[in-house]
Amino acid sequence: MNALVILQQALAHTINADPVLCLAHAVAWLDPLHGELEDMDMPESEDDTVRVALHVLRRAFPEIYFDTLQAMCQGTSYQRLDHLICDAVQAQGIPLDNLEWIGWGIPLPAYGALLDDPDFYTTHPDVISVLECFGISPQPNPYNIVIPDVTYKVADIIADDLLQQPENHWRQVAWLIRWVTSSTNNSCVDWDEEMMSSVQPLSWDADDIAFAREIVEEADGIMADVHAGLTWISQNPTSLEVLSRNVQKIYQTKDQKNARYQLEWSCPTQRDERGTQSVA
Amino acid sequence: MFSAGMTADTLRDCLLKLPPLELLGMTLLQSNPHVGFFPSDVPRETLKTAVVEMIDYGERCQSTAQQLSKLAPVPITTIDLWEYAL
Repeated sequence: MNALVILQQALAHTINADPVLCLAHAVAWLDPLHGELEDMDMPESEDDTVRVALHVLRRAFPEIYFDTLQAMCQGTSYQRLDHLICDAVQAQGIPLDNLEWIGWGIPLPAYGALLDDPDFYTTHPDVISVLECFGISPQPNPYNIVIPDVTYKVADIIADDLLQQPENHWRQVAWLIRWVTSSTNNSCVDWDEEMMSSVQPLSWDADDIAFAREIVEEADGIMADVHAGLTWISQNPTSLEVLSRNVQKIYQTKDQKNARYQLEWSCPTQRDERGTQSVA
Repeated sequence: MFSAGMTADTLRDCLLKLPPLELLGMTLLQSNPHVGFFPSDVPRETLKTAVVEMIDYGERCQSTAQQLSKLAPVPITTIDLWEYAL
């Protein structure tokens, strides 16, 4: 051990033997930015962004705050800090993709489907065959797509009935229908990015973080069902025909008061028949 | 407080009798022999506890300091204050 190391250890020992100096030492180690993070404006530079991030992390995720400080002490670049923080926050169940967004509040994904937006049909061509079962199509006028209210009512009845089916694939199709009609009651699944950005974001308080985790976890589960249901029905033309036939049954009775109909969902394990209520 | 017989000296004595503050971060610094100024082999969960405790302590100190700075003035009636007269 060389003289410099011995000297450093002796100095550290002396500092830690004095309660006040030891306290200062502990603050320098664990919370060096104590008292310097009160005034927080929206960031205009990378330094500002890191400062805002530290402010958020200090309360929300103390262990990530500490890791970030350690990384800063080692001269880590902004890009690496961005990755370090985003990865660590994502591991806590919050989908932070870019450090610049951390000051706005908790970022949430927005998977919402916009049936009256022509772009939706371009970006989701695989959904068109399912939508056609409900009479929804971007044709003939893709720039003026109007979805009548009755379509949403029919979709609601179909989804409700499918959720009662014993066959898991049909229940996944129910979530597919709920997603395209924005009726899952999960904000991340039902709202598109424009809608999401118009709502005040959740804060980084512990309660809001727990709430956000719950929403994101549920949304991920629903979207997994949506994709599984879409894959299954796309690969099973017979099931698509069954869906279409049941939708038509409801459409045909939509003008009849107290109309009753039977929905039949053929599946490999059993055939389930039941009556449901009318549309009107 | 002052009407109950508390003087500056007794207040000082009371404060001096408080047990010394024990923060986990300080304990880790004092008890763990390490190379350099900061220990590097502290378990993550312990470190997290120490950081949270230090942040809480710092905020309590700030809050106390703010409260003290806003105390209402105490009139001192037993001291004669001499003034220039004309």
